[in-house]
Amino acid sequence: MLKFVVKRIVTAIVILLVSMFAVFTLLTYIPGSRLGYMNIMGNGDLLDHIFEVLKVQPSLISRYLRYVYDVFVHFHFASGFRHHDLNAEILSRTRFTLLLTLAGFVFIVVIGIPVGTMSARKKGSLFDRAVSVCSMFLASIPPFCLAIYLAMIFCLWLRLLPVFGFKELRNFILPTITIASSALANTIQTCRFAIIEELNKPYVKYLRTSGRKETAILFGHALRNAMLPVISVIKEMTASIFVSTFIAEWFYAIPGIGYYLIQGINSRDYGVIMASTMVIAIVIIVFNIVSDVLYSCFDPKLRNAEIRGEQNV
Amino acid sequence: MFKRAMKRFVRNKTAMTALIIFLVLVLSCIIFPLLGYNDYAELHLENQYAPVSLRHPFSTDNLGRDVFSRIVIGGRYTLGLSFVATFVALFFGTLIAVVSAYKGGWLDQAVTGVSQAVSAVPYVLIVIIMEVSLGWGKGYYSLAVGIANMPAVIARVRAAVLKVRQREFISAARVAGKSDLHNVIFHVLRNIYSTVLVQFCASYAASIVACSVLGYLEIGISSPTPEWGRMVADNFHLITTRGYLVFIPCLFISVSVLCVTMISHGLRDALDPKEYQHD
Amino acid sequence: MNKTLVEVSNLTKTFHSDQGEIKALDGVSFSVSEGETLGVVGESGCGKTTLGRVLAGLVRRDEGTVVFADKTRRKQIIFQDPYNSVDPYWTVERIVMETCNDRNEAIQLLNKVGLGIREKDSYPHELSGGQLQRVGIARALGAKPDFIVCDEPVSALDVSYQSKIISLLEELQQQEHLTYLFISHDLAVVRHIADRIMIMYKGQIMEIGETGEIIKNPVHPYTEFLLSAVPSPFEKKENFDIRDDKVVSKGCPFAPRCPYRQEICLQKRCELKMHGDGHLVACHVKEK
Repeated sequence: MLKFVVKRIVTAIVILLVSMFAVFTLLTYIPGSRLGYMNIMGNGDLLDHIFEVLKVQPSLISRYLRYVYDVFVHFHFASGFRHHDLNAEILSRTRFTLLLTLAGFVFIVVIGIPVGTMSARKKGSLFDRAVSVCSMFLASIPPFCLAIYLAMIFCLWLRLLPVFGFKELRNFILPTITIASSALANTIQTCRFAIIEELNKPYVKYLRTSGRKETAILFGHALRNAMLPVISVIKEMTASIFVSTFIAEWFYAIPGIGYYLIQGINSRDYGVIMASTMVIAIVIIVFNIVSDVLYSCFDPKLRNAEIRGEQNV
Repeated sequence: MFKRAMKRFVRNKTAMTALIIFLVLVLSCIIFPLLGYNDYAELHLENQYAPVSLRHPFSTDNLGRDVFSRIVIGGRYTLGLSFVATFVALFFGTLIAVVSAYKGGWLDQAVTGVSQAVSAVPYVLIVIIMEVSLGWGKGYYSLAVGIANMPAVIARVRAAVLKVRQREFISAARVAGKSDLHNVIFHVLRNIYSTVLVQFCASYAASIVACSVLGYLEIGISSPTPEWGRMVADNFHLITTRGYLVFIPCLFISVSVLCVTMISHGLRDALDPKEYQHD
Repeated sequence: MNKTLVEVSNLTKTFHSDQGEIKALDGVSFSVSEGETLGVVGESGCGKTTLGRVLAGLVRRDEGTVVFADKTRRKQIIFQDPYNSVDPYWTVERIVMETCNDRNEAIQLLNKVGLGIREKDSYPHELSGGQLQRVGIARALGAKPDFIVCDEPVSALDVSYQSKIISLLEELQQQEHLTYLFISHDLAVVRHIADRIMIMYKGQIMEIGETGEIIKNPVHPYTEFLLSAVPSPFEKKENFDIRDDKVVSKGCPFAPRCPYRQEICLQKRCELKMHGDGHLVACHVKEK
């Protein structure tokens, strides 16, 4: 098991570095980019010594290495970009964005999977059909439209929840719903379909006839196997969840990195745009890696291979 | 065979209603501006928040501009640009998917890999990068939305092509010496047209959402242009006082997307009722 | 009648997949004479389908040669599942025209296989399986082939219909001077149409000879097994072991299931050796 995890982490880091290189290259060659002139020397840190000893010249690769070093060692995401206090801004804002996105994912999982499962069990009932209609509606419309409707109902009319601000917990309810909406319908539908498929499989019939209770079968076996397609669907929706997060930040005035990016676009501030793009790219890649790991945890082929002690492919 | 599918579609009440509503919407956006409702940019500050009348069916906004005109002209942006983006996505996406899936091998692997990489990037970022590199507001952004939709198209169409490729009539044609081109044109395309059609509607819905979101965030579309998302953002500060200025464009966006989604469901059910187990 | 149409020697094909390698064809050598029907029999996975596809030109071989006599340029194939082997969006007439390119000829071919004008404008889903299979035969004939691979052409049809199609194939063979490679898992069907029979197992030929000879005097243990099992090839017999998982890389592939097996069977692969006139058997134990 340990070998498996270690191998996974190493692969993840490699993917991260390669993707960062791709984004870095892209951003360097965009017309108007300052990245091509970035200074590869830092403040006398370890990498500087290495560069001096090897007499490394400024180039795409050495700049990339400097950037990676800054990111992982100094947590400095803005080297090479104009502002010097850019980094502090980015770090503080990323925290908000991560919080929101995680809240969104949690919402999707905590609401989507149970609802999907219940829909599967009560296939064809009023509940099932109502759920599918509602979720389709919720997911089709753009997130800001949903945000407006929610705001009109809960804030203006019912006066239950606040719209702006980010200090209290209450403030996060509407943004979370807004973020989760687009992915929720897909999750519910996939979960429902997957569980229906599982419950139709022969081994379930066998378990039923040998007397196991329906709930035990559901939670013990069917759910675990149904998680596979659900996780891959959520992974596919990661990009749109992030878009929803940016919209939510802009709508609810939450100072996250999406807000920062959009502000940068409106004011045509290239430094901000680039740095934010880079950070967002890193976050997305990390999320993808995490969901890949999660997927392989649930993958029966890999689990069985581990149990049997075979070498991993 | 197509006729039977169309009959099934017509019987689907939800889909037909959606189609009619959507057609009314599109026609309005084309006809009404020609009837004179096209002063979307003229400022008549003396005429703020005018009472509802035939000249101003939706009243006017804070700058005296006729909201109805703004909506029907805005429809050209929200609905029209998304259509262009969808067309781009589907034309190139189908082309790429068919060639890659039929040929297989390293081309297929490469296309799948690139497609997955692109799909991992939020479309906002794709548009931003294109705008930054190619210049602002030059209409590249419908291309960018098209590109953002391509991975989904490629995935679906590729799956359909792979299924067709397994069928033995392709083998039979090959034994008869028919070229790959012949097989693709006469066999593959015919067999995937239902997938492509359904995917067109689904992509169109996604494009409308994308365009309105980009308008809302003011990426690629700037202020006087009455794109619906833009109108929502412009008037947001008036939501408590003159809510209709926000609500109306919002409603139009929602209704359009819902209609297109319903149409795509209806098409899906009509064309391949066995394929999709939609209980 | 005695001229060789196809000469196959040492044909080998290995498929690679996530589960590992599968040797579909392992050193297969035989020949087919003009105008004859060679039946190929074996259970699923023995390589007979792959053999047919290689001969038809659909699958590329890894090793070995397939040599056709000069004037044979055309080979065709008839598939098992009629609904899968035609394009559901094409009319019957168009399907046949894919090979013959001429409308009148297409109609003539349809008549030859027993279908009329009424059917030519129909779509595949409007026809029965048997009718569709006739369309497939007409299409194959449209290419004016000399050699047709029949890949389980009647396995997907009702038993009552099977004999009709077999008769049709026999008639056509006479009329058009065709040579058939008739693949099937069903010995009962092959008995009727084949002049010679070839028994395959796990990619290798186990026995090959004239139909009458094989049926009366089966030599190879696997052939015995198949014959004893007619009508159902999956009936158990006391001496035979139905455990079939281990793949033996050297030695006889049938050894794990063979009641006559000896040490040598697990060690050394057996070559086809003459057992009688035109009758070849690959077995260490049963050879003369």
